[in-house]
Amino acid sequence: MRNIYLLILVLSVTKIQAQNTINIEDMSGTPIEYIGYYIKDTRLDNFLGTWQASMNGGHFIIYLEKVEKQNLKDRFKVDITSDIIQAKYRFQVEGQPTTTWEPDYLIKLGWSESDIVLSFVISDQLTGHHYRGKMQISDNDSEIASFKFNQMERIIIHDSNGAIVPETKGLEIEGGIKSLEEIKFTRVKTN
Amino acid sequence: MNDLDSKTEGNREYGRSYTVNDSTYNFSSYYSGLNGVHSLGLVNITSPVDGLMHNHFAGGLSIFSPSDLVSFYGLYNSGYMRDSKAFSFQLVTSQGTRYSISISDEDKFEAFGQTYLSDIDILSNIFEFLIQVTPDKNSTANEKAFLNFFQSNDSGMTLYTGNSSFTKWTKVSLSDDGTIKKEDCKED
Repeated sequence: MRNIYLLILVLSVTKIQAQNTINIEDMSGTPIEYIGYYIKDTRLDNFLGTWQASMNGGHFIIYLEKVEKQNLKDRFKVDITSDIIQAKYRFQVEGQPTTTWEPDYLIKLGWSESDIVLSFVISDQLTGHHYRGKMQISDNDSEIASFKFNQMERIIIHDSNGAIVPETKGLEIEGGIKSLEEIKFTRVKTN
Repeated sequence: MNDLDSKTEGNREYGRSYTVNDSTYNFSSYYSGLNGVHSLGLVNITSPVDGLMHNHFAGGLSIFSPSDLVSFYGLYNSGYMRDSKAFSFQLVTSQGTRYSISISDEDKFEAFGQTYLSDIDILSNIFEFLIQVTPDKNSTANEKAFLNFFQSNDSGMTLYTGNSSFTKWTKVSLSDDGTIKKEDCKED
């Protein structure tokens, strides 16, 4: 009986070790070329914490957290595991009771492009566009960051019933996603 | 398409649909997006057509975007392809690329479409994260990544590149060694 337990233990350890790990900075191609791998991303640690910016008489607050070993098979039908970042957000008016986090994530899947650039895709309810989003930490100060959004190409085909491809619901932010480009974020907490 | 090619030098997207009867092309009038916006709103597709072409101007992708592909699948699902196997979806870009995609295997395309072309959020993340087809990459890198995604998932679609006068189309695919394979296939 003891031998059977030992065999199960050895097989389990072998299975755990069977998944190859690659650091994101060592990848020579794109993630799709690393099927079966775990993409480890320690650069994501540079972005973690609570970031805050002044906006419309209050504060736009975002909280970035790292999700380790996220299996992306459900999302992409491809057997890849990766560390990713998710970010929730809320708006706080000065002197008002503390608000709760919005139910939708500002960043659902973020990955590092470098030590100071975080990439993600975001859709905007105001314009209906998807954007290539970047959060960039300042070269001079690791506690300051800004956002940049570049619109993804879009084609809309209508017939007499409206758009033939249903519109998706984007994130509702006052002034639209692009308004976040105009403000500077400061990290107020690092956890 | 030469006319559309000249429009890639501007800063808005243009497109038009067409039907072909007895080798005669009948084009719709041009639809256009707004200045500086990488978007094209097409209206009045009320009956099946044989093809649809559009452009990407500077700053846009050198190849089809997630929205382009989702719309291609939308045209198929809505019955707006007069002959789904002969339908051409064409693109001209400011990087000098000229592409056409068509359906080569309907069963595979339906399966691929249900999985990957039904949700623009998923496909956008695939382009940006998984295969990294982006405007800042050169057109060859984007083409390889695009083909890798198509072929490794049995998309049922074929990609063609056109010559500068759009009279000759070449079927492109990815070889096992990762190089791009070209096969001349038709001449207009």
